[in-house]
Amino acid sequence: MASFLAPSPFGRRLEWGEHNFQTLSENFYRSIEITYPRHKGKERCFMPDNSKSPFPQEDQTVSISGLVKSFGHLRALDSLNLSVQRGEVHGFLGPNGSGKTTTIRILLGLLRADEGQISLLGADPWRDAVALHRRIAYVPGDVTLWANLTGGEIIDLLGRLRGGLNPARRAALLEIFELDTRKKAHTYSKGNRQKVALIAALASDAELLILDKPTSGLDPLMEAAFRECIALERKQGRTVLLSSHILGEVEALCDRVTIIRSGTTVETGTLAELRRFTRTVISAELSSPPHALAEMHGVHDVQTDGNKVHCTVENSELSDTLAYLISCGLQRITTQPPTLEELFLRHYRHDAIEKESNHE
Amino acid sequence: MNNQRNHWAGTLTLIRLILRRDRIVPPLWIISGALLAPATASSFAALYPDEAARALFVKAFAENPTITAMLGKVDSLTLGGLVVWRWSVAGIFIIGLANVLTVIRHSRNEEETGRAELIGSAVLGRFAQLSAVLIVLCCANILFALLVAFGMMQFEASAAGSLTLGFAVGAAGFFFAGIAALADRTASSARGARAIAGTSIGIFFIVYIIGNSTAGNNHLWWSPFGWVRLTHPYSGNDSSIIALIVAVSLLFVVVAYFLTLRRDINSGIFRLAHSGAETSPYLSSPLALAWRLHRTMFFWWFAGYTIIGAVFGVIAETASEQLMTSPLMAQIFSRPGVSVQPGDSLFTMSFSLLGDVLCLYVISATLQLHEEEASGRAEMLLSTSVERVQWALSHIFCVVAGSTLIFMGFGAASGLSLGMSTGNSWHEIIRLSGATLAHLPALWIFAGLAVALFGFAPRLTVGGSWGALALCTFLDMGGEFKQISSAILNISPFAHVPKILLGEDYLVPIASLTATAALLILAGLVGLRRRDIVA
Repeated sequence: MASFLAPSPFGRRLEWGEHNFQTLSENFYRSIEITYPRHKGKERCFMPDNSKSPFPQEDQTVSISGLVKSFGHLRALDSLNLSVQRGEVHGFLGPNGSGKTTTIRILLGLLRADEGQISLLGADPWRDAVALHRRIAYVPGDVTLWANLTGGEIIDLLGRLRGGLNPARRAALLEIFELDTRKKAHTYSKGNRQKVALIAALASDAELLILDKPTSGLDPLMEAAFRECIALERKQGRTVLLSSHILGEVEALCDRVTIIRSGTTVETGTLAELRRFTRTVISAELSSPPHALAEMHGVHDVQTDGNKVHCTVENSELSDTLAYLISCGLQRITTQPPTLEELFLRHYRHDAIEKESNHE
Repeated sequence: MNNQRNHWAGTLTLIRLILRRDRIVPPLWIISGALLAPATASSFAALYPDEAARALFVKAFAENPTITAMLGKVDSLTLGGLVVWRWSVAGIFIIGLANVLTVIRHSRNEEETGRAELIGSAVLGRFAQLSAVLIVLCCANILFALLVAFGMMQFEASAAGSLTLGFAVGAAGFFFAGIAALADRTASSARGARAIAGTSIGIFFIVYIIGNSTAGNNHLWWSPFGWVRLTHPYSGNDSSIIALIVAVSLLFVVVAYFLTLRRDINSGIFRLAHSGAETSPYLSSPLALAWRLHRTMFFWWFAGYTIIGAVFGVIAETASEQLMTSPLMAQIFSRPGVSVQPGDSLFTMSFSLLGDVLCLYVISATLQLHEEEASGRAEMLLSTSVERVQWALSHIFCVVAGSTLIFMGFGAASGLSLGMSTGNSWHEIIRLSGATLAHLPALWIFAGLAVALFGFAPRLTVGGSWGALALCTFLDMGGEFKQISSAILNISPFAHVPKILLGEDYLVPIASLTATAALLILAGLVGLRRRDIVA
């Protein structure tokens, strides 16, 4: 249980962690069932097929294609595509200023799209904003709160305005995130403000969670608690759109990932799909220098130091490369699996190089 | 010198930072406030060129007790004397407010936004931040005083009188800087500090009104508004009182420094309710939230207006009798075929004056909408099932209902205290609080304008709303001096308020003012529905 906490150097905190993860144990969390609101009445008439099941049946929770949004001369989003399947945790990645928050604000009906098809839970996020907002919960990246309201009051207010808060889940989450809800919001640190918005969202019965850099300001233990919560949400069948900079978080939580750059989608797919295009990092010690390695197909960034070698290898060429290394007398080898970070940096560097060449 | 304990290290650099950040609006504020004095002199010079004309004006107009209560007595029949009487209250309000807002903007507000932490981690003494803003304000007040003095010297031969007037009002400005410094160190937030220091101006003004309504000069000693008058510019020039104002201000500053050494950054002395309710069952709609955000300011205004109303009720009866002995006033306030009740002429005047002031509440409360959006809180609220129009209407409702209650509270309080002397309390309460209603639609037009700007040009909301009020107040003053043609005067909604107590027709003006306000609000809501919400 909670293995990522085991090597923690903080004895006291580890104790805290154990205590909390008992609270968070799956059985406990499961016992507090998520009851999705029954969709009935006029407000939800845009989804006529779902009257029988509490879970709306459309496959795509979010479907965006060719989205364009300009602010004056600045083209913030330029033919952006994003699709989030029902029940998945979808990572939304991109460098600062690439348009993640703008996309989310369009999904929330706060900004109006210039062009493109957008469907959120089968409806139009601009036209049907209010009806949709009963079914989604949002955590902004930079949470500002009403200074003279207490944390508890704000959690309840947001819950009521979203159309329901599960009191048992609220209590459990308060314990997990260790928030003093009796304090006025102006005394909260950034992390605590973030917790208020997170608890309000997670304790709601919303079927889609839209989280914009939700862990900014949280300490590593709270981040771990957040991951555990999201993992459980996925098991419960909630859909999550997670915008983040923290690649480890996305790798640990997300089924599928969309990477955008300057307002345009550059990669989308499952992590396994994306990894196919990435390279494995190999460091090896050999008995003879690997002279031919640099010329091999699919091998990059070769650095040799006598009999030691460091390189990156395209996954399709992995067996040929290993065969060659064995022929050189492989003595010791460490490999690092391709990471999302590498993929992300590749696009990011590409962007930087492009910018440089534009300058020249 | 021991550098590690140099509490003033970095003050010069911070002064430069303040001058860079405040290079447009505060100078404009100070210059226009100062130039209002020679502008008033020029109007008086045109209207009442010689002492005989001025004596007639004073007899007819300035000796009326309402006006005496608000502005004090006329000390000297020179042109300067009239300016002292007419301008000094406005001048103290303008320069006092500028001082209060500037002090808090550069000290507590900096701490609250975290910028002070960023700067404070550099080589910066504990006193640097407060000292920098106080030094800048000290210079600004001197500049203000000199501007007033040189402006007035164009109209008045007495240089000593002009300098006395300028420096007395400038010193009163610094007095409020001292109060703001104290509030800054003791309140629990920048907003609280602003409220304490801003309210102190209002309280000292009420004290001044009470002082003016009682016999003798002794009561003037209780308020800086009175101190300025006690310097007697153009009729004695008692500069020792200016020294007294500066000494008291410096005393506040010293206490503020003393507190600075003993406090943590961004903390006050009064720990106002740091912890509160875990949950509140009523907070479940946008309207309930809006009320929570508006209620503190509402209660302050309600209390202030009720107190002023009670004071006016007490002085109303005698005041009106004196007023009607002046033939000019009798002519202005009597209508053919209508018998005007005692006190009504005074109430008509005070309604329009305090109605203008209540616009400050109406506009700043309406701007809460803009504040909610700019801070990003609206984004979170609108991501729930709250509709934009519903959100905006909940704030507008608080503004409209709040301003109605505040002004009716004023009317009811004056009715009660007048009725206690005439023995007909219920009748007076209903009659006077009802009469205040006639003034409200004009105020709502300012709320409507703010909402319309918020819907269509959100970036102009703040500047446009305050600018419109400044313009209309200016036109109102111009109307008083009869120097602006009535076609232009009619732009101001104040010009269309019916004098209901004097028997003027009220149905058509009230209906058209209300309709205009409603249309402006409606237009703003339409705009809000169509535009992007930006944080």
